[in-house]
Amino acid sequence: MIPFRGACAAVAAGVLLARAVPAQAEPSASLDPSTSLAVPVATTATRSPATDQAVSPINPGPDQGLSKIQKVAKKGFTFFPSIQDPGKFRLAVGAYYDAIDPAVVYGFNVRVPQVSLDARFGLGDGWSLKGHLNSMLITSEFLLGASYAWHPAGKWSLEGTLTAGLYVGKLGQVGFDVLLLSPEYRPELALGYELGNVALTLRGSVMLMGPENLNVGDTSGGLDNSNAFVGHSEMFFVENTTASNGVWYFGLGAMTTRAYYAMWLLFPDSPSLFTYPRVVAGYEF
Amino acid sequence: MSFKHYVLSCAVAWLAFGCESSGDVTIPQFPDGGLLRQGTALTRGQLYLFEGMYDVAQGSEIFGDGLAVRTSKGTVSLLTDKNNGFSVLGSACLDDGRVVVEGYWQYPTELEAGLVRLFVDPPEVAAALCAGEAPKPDTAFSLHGAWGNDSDFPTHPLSLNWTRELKDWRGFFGNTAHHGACEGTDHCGASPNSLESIRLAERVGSNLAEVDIRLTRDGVPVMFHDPGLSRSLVRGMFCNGNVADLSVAELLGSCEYTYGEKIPTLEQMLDMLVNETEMEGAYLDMKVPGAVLPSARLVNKLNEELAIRNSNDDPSDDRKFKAAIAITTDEVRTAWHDAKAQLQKEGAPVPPCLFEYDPNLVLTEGCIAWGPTWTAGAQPDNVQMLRDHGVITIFWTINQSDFMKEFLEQAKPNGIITGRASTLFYLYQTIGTVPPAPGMTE
Repeated sequence: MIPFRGACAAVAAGVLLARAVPAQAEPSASLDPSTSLAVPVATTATRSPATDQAVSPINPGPDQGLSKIQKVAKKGFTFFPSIQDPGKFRLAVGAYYDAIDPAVVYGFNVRVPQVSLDARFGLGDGWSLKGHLNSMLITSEFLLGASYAWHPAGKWSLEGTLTAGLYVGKLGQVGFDVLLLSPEYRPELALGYELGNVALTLRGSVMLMGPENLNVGDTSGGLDNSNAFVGHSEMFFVENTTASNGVWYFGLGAMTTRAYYAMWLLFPDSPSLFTYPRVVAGYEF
Repeated sequence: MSFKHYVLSCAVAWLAFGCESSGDVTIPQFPDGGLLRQGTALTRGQLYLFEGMYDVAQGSEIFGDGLAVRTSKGTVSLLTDKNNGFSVLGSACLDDGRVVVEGYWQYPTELEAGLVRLFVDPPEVAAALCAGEAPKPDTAFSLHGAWGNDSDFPTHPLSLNWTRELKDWRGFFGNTAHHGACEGTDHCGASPNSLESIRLAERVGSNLAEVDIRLTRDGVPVMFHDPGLSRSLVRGMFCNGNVADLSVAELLGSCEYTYGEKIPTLEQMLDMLVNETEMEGAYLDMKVPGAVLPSARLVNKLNEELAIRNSNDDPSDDRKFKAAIAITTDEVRTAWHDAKAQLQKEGAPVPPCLFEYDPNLVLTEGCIAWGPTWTAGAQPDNVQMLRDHGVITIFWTINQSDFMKEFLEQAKPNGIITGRASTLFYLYQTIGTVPPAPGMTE
């Protein structure tokens, strides 16, 4: 349980750190009367109806009354449940690090971080298209799918996501001539909460894979003890908005997977599930 | 409770529910020693009767449709490719004239094990065994009884019918234990590189042993894989640091393997292999260059003892065993050159070597074996090229059954290192090709 103690400490630190970041610009929505008064009152007959609608306190614009998080959500968060405006696009670049127990594969001590790319595109009515890539070169996962988000109450929000794609392992050097290909499917549920300018999200997902096809030199085959269910993930994310509507994010949580999902190149054949911490961080443009 | 605390509590609960324990298995035993305690153990010579391929008439849900049976000192082993399963059994003649074969079965990668009790059929074969004879098997020979789960008394029917003899394997095909009977994440109750695990390896199908060798601070070769004394391999309050930082006394006094075994020295390992098992050889994986010369000296000492033992007038005492120094890296290769020069300077013989990477350097170095990694493919042309020069090939380390089959069929190697000896034994017996020339011990 030591990793979990560390995880909890990091989660707490994450929340406190995020709250410590000074609120960056953006007054807190139209319920503040001073904000309404600050809006210059247009008096000429030349202003357009569109402008009128955007600035009038009597006919508030589409962002009037929205919290900072809800405004950013219109462009989309990578992790926080987001009701994106149609056509809006969000791209995120980040890194993963998995602290895998050496016992999972005997003698394996090297831990390599992965780079990640996430993208989401708004379709309207809570729907988004999503894309995800993470890679450490010898292992890559590429997923595409869709999500649906809704705000059932107050600061709480929910999102369901279903993605599918390809798990690719490849190494042709240092004594290896191997290629692993497998379809991958990943249903996810997310629970979000707005905390000032910070979006907090718990995401749980199930990882499904198979059938795996492994090529070694001129030979090919599957993995012993392969199972369609390769694991699950529970992650806590903190997304901190900036004045320019960019987002810094970091997250921490637990991966519980079969050893071959985490380290296919070492061909571990234990059917057991192993739990290990995952740390992620990045920036959303 | 403030909202922040509430959120944190939810996060902690979510993470905690994600935690799963792999647990561990207890090797089941019959209470009070079972029927074996009441009978007279069969002799080594009588156990050969049991060897062969069998159809599983009842019990295929646990052992598959067919299995192989091999024997070693005091042990009858049922070996299958179903979940890498094996059964380790003892045998005895009972007072009522029946012959019982009983012990436990296990899937080492899973938490599944149980008891097995079988009786020899037909009765006249059992009677012959009890009369001290060593009958030959035929298709009328069978084993009938039951298997059970965990420590429950076995009640599920198990019937095995002998169908044919085993293909030549002793002296021909090296089913090579990957530093023991199982991998580190398995549940077979023995730690890699321990004496206990190598003893068990023979019972689950191996006839060669690959072991990892490091050097203590005072220059003693010991059996250990990693440079550091990590919690995944050892336990002990004062067991910290690296193997190379501790004297052998400190290492053995402070550290135990995870199942409580002592870390053996190479000398203890070789002595056990030769005197307590029928294993045919050892693949000594040099983890550090400094281990090469002291290991070579121990191999020479062993070879001298074997030469004396095999030169007496009692052929029943003869023992064939070959240990080879594995050259794993360029640094180890340099150390090998230095060790050869030193031994030749002393007038001592140079022990056999095994070369792991470049097949052409195997010939340059004059090694008896090539040990390529399987991850580069089956390389049948290289295997044949070296075979033409009298060099055997042992791939490391194939645990996936699909690839055992592919390599057995494409490369027809002299051996494979594996942590799944039961599966390899069964597959070699079903689809393998007997190598045209004898293996490592010849």
